[in-house]
Amino acid sequence: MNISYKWLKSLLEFELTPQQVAERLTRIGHAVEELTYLGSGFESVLAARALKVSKHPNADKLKLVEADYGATETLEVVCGAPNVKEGGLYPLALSGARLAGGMTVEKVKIRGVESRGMLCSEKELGLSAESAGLMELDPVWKPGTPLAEVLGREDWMLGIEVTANRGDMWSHLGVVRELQPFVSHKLRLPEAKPAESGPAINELTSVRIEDPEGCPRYMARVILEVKVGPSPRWLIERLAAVGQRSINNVVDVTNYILLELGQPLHAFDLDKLEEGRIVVRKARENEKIFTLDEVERSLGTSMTVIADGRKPVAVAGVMGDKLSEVDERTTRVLLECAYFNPVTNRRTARALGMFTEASRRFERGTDFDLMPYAVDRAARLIAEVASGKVARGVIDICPRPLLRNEVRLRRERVKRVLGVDFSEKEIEKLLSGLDFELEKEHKGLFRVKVPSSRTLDVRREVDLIEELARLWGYDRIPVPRRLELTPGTGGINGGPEWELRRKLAGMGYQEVLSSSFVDSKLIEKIYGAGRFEFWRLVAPISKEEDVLRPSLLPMLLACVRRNLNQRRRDLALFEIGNVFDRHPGEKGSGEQRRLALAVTGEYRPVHWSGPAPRQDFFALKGTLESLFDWLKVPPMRFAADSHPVLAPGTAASIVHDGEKIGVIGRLDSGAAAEMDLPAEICLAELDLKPVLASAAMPIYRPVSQFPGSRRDISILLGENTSCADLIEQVRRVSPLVAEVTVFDLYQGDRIPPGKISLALSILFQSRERTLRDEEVDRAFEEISRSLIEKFGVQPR
Amino acid sequence: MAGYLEKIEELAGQARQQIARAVSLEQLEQWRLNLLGRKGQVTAILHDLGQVSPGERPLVGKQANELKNEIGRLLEERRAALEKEQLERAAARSAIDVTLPGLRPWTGSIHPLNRTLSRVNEVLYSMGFSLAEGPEIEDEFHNFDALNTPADHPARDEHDTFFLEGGLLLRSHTSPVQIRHMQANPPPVRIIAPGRVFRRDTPDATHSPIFHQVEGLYVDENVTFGDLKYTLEQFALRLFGPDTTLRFRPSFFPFTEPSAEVDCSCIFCKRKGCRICKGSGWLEILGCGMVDPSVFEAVGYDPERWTGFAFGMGIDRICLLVHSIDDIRLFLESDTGFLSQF
Repeated sequence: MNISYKWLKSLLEFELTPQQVAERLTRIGHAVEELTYLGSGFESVLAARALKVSKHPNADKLKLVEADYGATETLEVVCGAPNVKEGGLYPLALSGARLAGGMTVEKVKIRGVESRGMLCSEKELGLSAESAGLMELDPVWKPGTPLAEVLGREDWMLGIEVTANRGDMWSHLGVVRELQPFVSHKLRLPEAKPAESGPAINELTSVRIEDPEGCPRYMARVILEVKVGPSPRWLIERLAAVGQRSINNVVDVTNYILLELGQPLHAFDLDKLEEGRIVVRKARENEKIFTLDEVERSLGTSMTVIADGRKPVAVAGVMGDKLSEVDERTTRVLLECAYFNPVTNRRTARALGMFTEASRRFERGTDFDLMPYAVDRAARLIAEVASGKVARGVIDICPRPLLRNEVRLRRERVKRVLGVDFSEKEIEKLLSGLDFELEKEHKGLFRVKVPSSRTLDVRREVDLIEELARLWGYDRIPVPRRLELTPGTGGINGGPEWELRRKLAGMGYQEVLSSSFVDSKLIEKIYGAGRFEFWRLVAPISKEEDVLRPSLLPMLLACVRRNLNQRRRDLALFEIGNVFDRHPGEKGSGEQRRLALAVTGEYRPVHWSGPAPRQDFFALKGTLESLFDWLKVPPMRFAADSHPVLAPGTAASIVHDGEKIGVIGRLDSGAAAEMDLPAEICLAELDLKPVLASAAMPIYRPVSQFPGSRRDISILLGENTSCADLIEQVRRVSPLVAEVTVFDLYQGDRIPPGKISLALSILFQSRERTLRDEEVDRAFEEISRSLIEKFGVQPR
Repeated sequence: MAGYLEKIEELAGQARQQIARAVSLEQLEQWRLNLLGRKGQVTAILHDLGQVSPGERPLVGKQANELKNEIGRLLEERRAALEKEQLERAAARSAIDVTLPGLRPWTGSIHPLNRTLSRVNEVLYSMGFSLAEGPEIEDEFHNFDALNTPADHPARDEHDTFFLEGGLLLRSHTSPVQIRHMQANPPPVRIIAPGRVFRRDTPDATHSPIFHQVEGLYVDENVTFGDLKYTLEQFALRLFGPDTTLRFRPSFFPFTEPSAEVDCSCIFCKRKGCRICKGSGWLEILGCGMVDPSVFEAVGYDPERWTGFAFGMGIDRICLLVHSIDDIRLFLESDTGFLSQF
């Protein structure tokens, strides 16, 4: 809300500077985010009268002007403007003035004559883009008056951030009320009663309310013999000071009252109202209205409209229609001053997508008791600035009076919430400063009557406690230092997820966070349609961000692409985040916390000692194995599987406790092409919940004191046997097996096609004793035999 | 006899020179054999002692033995010196250039937002707050209604919410976690709820439709606004350091009353005024207030018996401030050139 400092001063006498006003308002909860001096660019520019104009001795086109600028002596300036006349009043820039047009005025000699200032045009003052000669000022101003004052710019604009609870602060009156506690004078509202003449209003028009819920009160006045035209200077300046454009005198007055009192008004051309009357009712289904912004709108039955005898002429409290608009031919004005239901008003404005200055105020609640004053003052002003006559009487239909709130306030409760032990006197003093009326019911208990401007905002005891807190000052509320700030439960940083982050970072992976919004089209292209049941946004920011991510992988791939484009070829990335898939069978919203990883490039930075291995499936699998090991989760199984974004034959599911909890594999070339990526990227994604839930506290087992004994075996493996089966069998056969390591793998000419030669190293060890050679040999033979029996493999 | 003594003398001089000049262990061994070996010159003299007259024998014998001992000692000294030289030469041959680059693994790091969040979590944990979590997909009740923000309340404008098909929404703040926690647990309560939140803002350098918050909630008997101030002052001291001061300004949130915006003394200029704080000396970092009684009613707490406070802050904003980052969009862009700096 833009507030004019001068406007505030017209309502309340005070000595505070604009800076002090801004500081006080901010301190009590109305953050002043902007404070602008409107006269900037006019410093050292004064109104000056040309006493004598004579020819320049050395130049035909120049003149010498003797100017009276309010000082004891006059000033001689050189001037080239054609319109300078003796007796005229012009802006005079003294030397040193920095003009908004960009010029700095200095004492100069022009053709041998010293000029000690400059008479200015509008262009030079930055007031207009072009100008023919000097700016001519109204001669009523005294020479020496600062130009800022002449232009009505001797003012400051305060930009206030109005909080959602304070509808009353959308007006100068609201701001003035908040300033009252800081000043010694009381608010004085200007006299509003208009001089009435001519016919009684009831002979001119009538008002009927058929929707009392939507419109609890409707007041009207009629102004006759109005001459619509430009507004007087003071009105234009007032509006300009808060950044509003002047339209015409009648509309300007309604805007003026809105800004001063917070009461929105509407002016109808009475002659354009069919049957010359007002009916407040609900709109009919699909009823049409052509609003002032020149859009035809279709209304619904929940909306309140102002209608004439036949059709709607305004969306109540939002905007009027074009047909009943006041224009230059208007002579009879019907002035509406109403209270509209905040909730229905807001719904209507939302439904129509029209948020206007009026609706903003109605939806936050206007001042019910101020309406008679507002309608009078507006009528009086219209009569004044448009030389009209106010018809006798006022219409005031009030089917649903809105009573002022009465709230009980306990002194003890104030202390319990704020920790401040106010005396009853202090409570009374603080609250009455804001026009709350207090009545003491008994000791420690007040009945507080709330000003009508605060009806929506102050309804409960705690609302009054807040008033006390902010008036007293948050900085004065004592700090007791009594809470015990001892550590919480559940571990610092919530446990294993954070440990996982640190571990992965330590293993060389970079954490990324990416958007939760993805492109459903792209996902369907790479995953195939129907794989996910998306959560769709009703109004996405763009159509490429239309659904919630059902997996972390697409965005992680986008991260990879982004970095590859920056020529970073070696990447190891991970992300932890929530994914959303409302697939049938999912309980609730199908929100899941996942970990995803992606690797590409080389396994370590380039080094002079030799080439690094590639980041491949096994590099990524090794990372996961290390993580699982370190989290002490039970062993995960990696089982060959297929997956839409992973290349056939290189994809595996990660199985935990019989459940598939994740996938790992190399990016499929189709998906890679779709996303404009090379295919040498390996990916993994897994549900974090089961992994973290089974993470266990490490339990100590004594380290074996007895030496182990190794035996190596080389095996020819057929197509249908996996390495995991083999190792499992080795472990199953002998309890003496402590460790099985795969130390070589061969595929090639020296063995039959389709076979793989695996070399295992088996460590036999006991915790109780040193094993005898014969024992180890026997166990080893047993293992060899069982492998042959079970898998038909041949030891080599 | 004189012949023997002279011979010994001559041999001594010769041996001293030879040993000193030996350049290798092999050469030294050769000299040792020549002098002290079975057919060596000194051995020969000792061998010939029998032919010396018995009167002279003690003297010659003594001289010859002394010569033998001296040569043994010189040989030993020279051998040690030669061995040392040899070791040094070998060492010189196998020396490495210690300034060559080491063999490094890749260096990863935690995302700056999580780094900041972790720090905030640690501080609040040390002050007795325990972690609580909730879903990102929420319903209107938990995100708005229970937080004293009924439909048609103008305060909803400030949370331009992402709605999902079917009527659910993406949480616009982490406050619904408080509601869920209070519904499931009786007071007293002391929790923090960190997480991702969503608002339909147009992205620019300071706005992102996806950002991150931490909220705290403290409910007990006799908790006052003064306790809120104490808690946040302690928080700021522990997070930003010992000179930090706070400024509380009245404000409005539907779910707290009284409400406050909290400014922290600028962590860069210590209130002198700088570019970061736009000359004001203060940085806006927190919103807070006393829990509104209607929130307690919504979760079934007795508002007459329990009082409490809540506070919330944007992790993105704090992270921007602490690391002098000038664009919030960098956080979700996943450029490792940016991320690897943290």
